[in-house]
Amino acid sequence: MTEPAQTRLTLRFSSAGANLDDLEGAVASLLNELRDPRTEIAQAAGHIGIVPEEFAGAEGSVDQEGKGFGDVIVIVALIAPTINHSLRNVWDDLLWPHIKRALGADALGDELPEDDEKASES
Amino acid sequence: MPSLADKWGDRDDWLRLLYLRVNILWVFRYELLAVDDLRWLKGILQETFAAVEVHANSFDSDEEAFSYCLNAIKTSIKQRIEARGSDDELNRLYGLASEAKPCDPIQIIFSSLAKNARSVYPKSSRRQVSFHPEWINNHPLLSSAGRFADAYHVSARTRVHPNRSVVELQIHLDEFEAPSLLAIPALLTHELVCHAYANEDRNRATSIWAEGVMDWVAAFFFHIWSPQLSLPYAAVKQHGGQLWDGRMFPARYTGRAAADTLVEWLIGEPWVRGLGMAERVVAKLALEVNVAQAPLHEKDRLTSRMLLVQSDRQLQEALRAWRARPGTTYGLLS
Repeated sequence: MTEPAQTRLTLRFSSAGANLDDLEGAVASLLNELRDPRTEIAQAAGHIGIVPEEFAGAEGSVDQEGKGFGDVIVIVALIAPTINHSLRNVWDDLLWPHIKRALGADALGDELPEDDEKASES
Repeated sequence: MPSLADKWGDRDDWLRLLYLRVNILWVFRYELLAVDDLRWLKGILQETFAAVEVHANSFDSDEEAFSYCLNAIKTSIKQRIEARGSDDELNRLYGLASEAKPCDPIQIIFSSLAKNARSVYPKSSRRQVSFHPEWINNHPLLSSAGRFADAYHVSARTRVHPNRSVVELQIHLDEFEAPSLLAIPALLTHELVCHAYANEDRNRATSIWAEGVMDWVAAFFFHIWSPQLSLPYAAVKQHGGQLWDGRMFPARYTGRAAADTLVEWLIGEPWVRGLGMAERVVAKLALEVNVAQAPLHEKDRLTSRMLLVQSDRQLQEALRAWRARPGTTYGLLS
């Protein structure tokens, strides 16, 4: 089943072990590489049916959001105006594995649900 | 802070170093329970780890690099014998180094635990479960004032997809020593029992079911499976227990209490013969609920009811109905 296209994605994480500038740099660099069919990541994207043209104009940002006393949330935002696939899959299958390889599996903390209140539902 | 690339080069270099560190510890694994009381082993390990970092990536294969390490260890032991004379410990360590063969110890541990986990989960829940070591740049818990939160420079996370799960073992190699290796069985058991086969519809970090009740189940199986791991059971049990106790948090306490409360109620049931059977029943029930198609908040709600099972007649009847027809959890999850 083909996932519907998703041109915007916002992910929230409990913390970041890596420097936010390094994370943002890694995301930007990988999006650049995805536009170049000669790169390893673009070829991996090709294996799952995503072509470099789909990353035209794609951008990513990594920011920090203070939340309560001592709590910091890291926000990763991706925009890909011309993508025909799910950005969630792009993050899970392409971007995050490469970020982990470069910056470590603790570069980002646990992903938080969209609505924090859901986490305490019982 | 230096990046991982600054410290280790690329990931392949890191994997070589991990392989060597783990193999060296594996050679002496049956000495590790008493490593703090032994005269020589700690020093030999520290010297060897330091030599490994310098030379590891000058070899063409992992096996050649390991052979280098063994020769370095034997040389180190001989030097100590020449300087101080022989003793039982040095003779024993020399013998272990002479007989050692390289292997993949973490994969060996994972394969044994994964085989056990596959066997306890109902067939309907089967996923392909694989293992992947990941590097991390710091101790997995927040540390303060230059001190690490605990002795275990490892953590784990499971990424669940519809047909497969990937168990990631996250390793802070800078400080990976005997305690970290000996804590790996507990970590992997938790991931395999709690998450690898679970049917979850959302993030589970604070779920009293996923991280609480299922953690109790993981501890239950850990005590059964860990003696089969070709590691000293006493050390694995000690370090696994310390890891677990040190990384408790409210959802885990609550879920474990719910499981124990259910055990207590079951002991009063006429068809349950004693504590051991009550625990096995709770484990069996939890495995079935864990794979059931239901939102995680329903399983959390069941956990809350388990805490009050002594006064919840509806839950008691649902549990008796489940016992009469195992495999059907409908009355337990609304």
